[in-house]
Amino acid sequence: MHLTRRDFLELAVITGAYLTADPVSALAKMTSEDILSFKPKGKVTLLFTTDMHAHLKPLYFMEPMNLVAPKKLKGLPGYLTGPDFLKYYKISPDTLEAYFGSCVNFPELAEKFGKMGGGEYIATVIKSVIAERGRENVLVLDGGDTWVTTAIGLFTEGKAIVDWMNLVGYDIMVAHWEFTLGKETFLKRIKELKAEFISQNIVEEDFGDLVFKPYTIREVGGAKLGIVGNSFPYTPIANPRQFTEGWSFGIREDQLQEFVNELREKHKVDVVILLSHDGLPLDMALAKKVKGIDIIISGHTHDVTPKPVFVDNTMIVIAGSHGKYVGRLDLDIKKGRIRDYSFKLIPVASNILKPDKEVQKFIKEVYKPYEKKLSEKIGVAETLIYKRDTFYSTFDRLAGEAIKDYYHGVDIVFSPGYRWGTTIIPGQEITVEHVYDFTAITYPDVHVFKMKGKHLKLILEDIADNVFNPNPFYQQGGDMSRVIGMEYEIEINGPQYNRIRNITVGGKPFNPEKEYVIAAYGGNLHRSEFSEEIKDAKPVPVYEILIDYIKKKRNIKVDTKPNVKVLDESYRTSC
Amino acid sequence: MMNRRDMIKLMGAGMVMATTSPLVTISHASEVEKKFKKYVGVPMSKVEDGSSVIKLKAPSIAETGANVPVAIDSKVPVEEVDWLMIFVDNNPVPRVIKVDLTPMNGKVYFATRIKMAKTSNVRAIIKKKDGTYLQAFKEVKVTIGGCG
Amino acid sequence: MAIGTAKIRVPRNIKKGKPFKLQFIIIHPMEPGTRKDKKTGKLIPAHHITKLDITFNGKKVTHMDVGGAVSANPYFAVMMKADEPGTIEISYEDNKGGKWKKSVKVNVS
Repeated sequence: MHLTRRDFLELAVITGAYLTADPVSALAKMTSEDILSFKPKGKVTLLFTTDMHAHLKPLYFMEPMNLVAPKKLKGLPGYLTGPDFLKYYKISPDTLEAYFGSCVNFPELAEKFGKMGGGEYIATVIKSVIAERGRENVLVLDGGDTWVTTAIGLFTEGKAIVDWMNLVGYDIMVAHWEFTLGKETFLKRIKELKAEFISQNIVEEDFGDLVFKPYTIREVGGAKLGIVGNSFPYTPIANPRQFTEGWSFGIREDQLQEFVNELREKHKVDVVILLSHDGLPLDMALAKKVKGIDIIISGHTHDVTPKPVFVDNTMIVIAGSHGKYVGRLDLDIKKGRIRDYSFKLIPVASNILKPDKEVQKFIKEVYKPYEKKLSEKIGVAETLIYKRDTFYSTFDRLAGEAIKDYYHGVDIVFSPGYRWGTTIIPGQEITVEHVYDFTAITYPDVHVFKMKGKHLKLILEDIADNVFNPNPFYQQGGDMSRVIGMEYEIEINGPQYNRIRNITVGGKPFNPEKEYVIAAYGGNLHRSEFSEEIKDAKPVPVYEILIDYIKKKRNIKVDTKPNVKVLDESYRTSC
Repeated sequence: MMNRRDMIKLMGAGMVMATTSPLVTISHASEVEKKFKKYVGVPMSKVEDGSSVIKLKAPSIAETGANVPVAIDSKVPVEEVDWLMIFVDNNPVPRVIKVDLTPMNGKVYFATRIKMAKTSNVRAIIKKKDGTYLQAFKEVKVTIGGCG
Repeated sequence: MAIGTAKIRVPRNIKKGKPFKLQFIIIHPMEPGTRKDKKTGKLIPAHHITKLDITFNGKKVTHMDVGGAVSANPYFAVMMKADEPGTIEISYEDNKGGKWKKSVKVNVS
């Protein structure tokens, strides 16, 4: 089967699919039925989540103010934020849908609509769809970044989330941050996991043998679905290599093409689906290169696609992050062709949905040993504390200040540009759990080292190219590392390795020959050949430093002014 | 600011450090031409575009500069081929390996893993027995990491 | 594993005259000679494989001129074909005078 663009357009005319793809009501007073309302199609239902980042409890999570893009990619899904996102998808401001998908009026809407996600509410959505459609007609998929990066994920080494996934009934998954548990624990967890773990892009380093099953074939709703997996291609670069020693990752698009062909020709599947942790821009580029994929269920870049993106004959969808959405895609498949579809990102609004009792009880149980420690109130936010942005966030500023306060004489703090965390509303009390929400990694130590200015610039240019290369195949799908204590200007569309200028450090002119004292966590920087570790500065986990600092300060007020100036693209400082 | 010479020095020294090879400045075209002539034996202008018959597999972003998998697969009949070569523009010694093939190979195919000093074009060059040359190339980025 | 040791892999079922993949990994530091010792600042002397030959029943299949930029513990793969059962021999030497030979027998059906 192969759905052409024309097929889709015809479909749209017949069914009005384009028009009804976003039926989330504009009303503030919504019911659980409104949220779950859906126009079913055919017999096959795919349910999917991604990048939940181990948030078993509901949270606030604001979409970014900026997703600064190179010119070639500007305005495309993956680079739409704030008012532009609302405009593109024709979403009215101040609706539940606007609250979930953009930063516009976030603190006010947070008061109105409450927290997002949460294991017992995701369960409600998934179980109700299964009840509606029948278990044999539903496939539940997860795109990875699911087991770790919260306190509960870290303390149980992912076990709490694996158990949760088993309770909810997931079928298939791929991974990224899961690998930071280390090979041994990772392999143990996928044994405990009832869902099947697939990845075509992880091979043994020596002879290139596949480490995992590359794809799986499932009969769902009378159709034969071939699902290929791609875990995060740059796991050994973006995270410490030791966790996946002996394995090689990469996009492996040639191998992917071979598996897609195999599914079609040898196994005669009706539909080929790629379950991916590549990131939306890369998957959009991949869809141009690899032929014969009907649907890509993407992950990693945390994008929200209220409507599918079409690239040639491939439909691409991605269900946000942090448990905010469950994607539902119904397919009417006949004679190896998708005849019709219906799609919705179901917002997991915890104030409106009813919790699943069984899962609620389970979450309460797993939290029991940690609840007291995690619920401790250590301060109050006077500013909105958020993480996601291309260059700067109030959380990263706060982390920078705390680290500088702990280690004296640090010139610059590097804080990683990953896109997960939480959002703390002004006036909200800060708990120990919040700190872990931002920092719960398996390699949390802050390292202090010296590095010459010119090498520091080299590294920043390197990172900038990983974020702003106009070809998604040369990006890694993240944001710029944050540098607190340093200011610079950047030309996004400037030449490769020559985008950054007018650097100052602590207000003083940058000196390429000077050795700066740098503190960094969550990256590989201290291992760079240019870094000279300062032995007296003992590595300490970043969450411990932050907890102590917040306790000391109590009222947390953070400068909202970014330390980076973007020269050739617009850059919002409020939303 | 760092001048060009410094950068090149840096590259040389950085060459093998597995996790941290730096990148920076792509060599000037003229420099590549010079090295090409020296190590391949002919000026680059004599080498035809072989991208339609040579498949060069290499990652767009290397996991580490110390270990970059490269595979060359070609439709050109092996009987017509003298040798193939992997050439990395920005390596201190750009000629990485030269492989003489024979009809016993049955097919033009070669794979290995190479070291890369920094971001560079990787070239697969084929010399045919009739004295003509073909090439395909791909940019491979060597990075210290970043986002996550 | 000792320097010069090799792991060779060939498919189990080789069809007469049909190209198959020969893969091998050799244990060798492949020191390029362009790298500096971080502590002393001195160049680390080159120590890498320079030449490699593959033969089948004594007949030349492939010759390689190997540079120092091939990765440590190098991996090589070529295609080759066999019309009869016999022995694939891989011989290689490095710039310090090390010489090694490894072979593998193949059956053809």
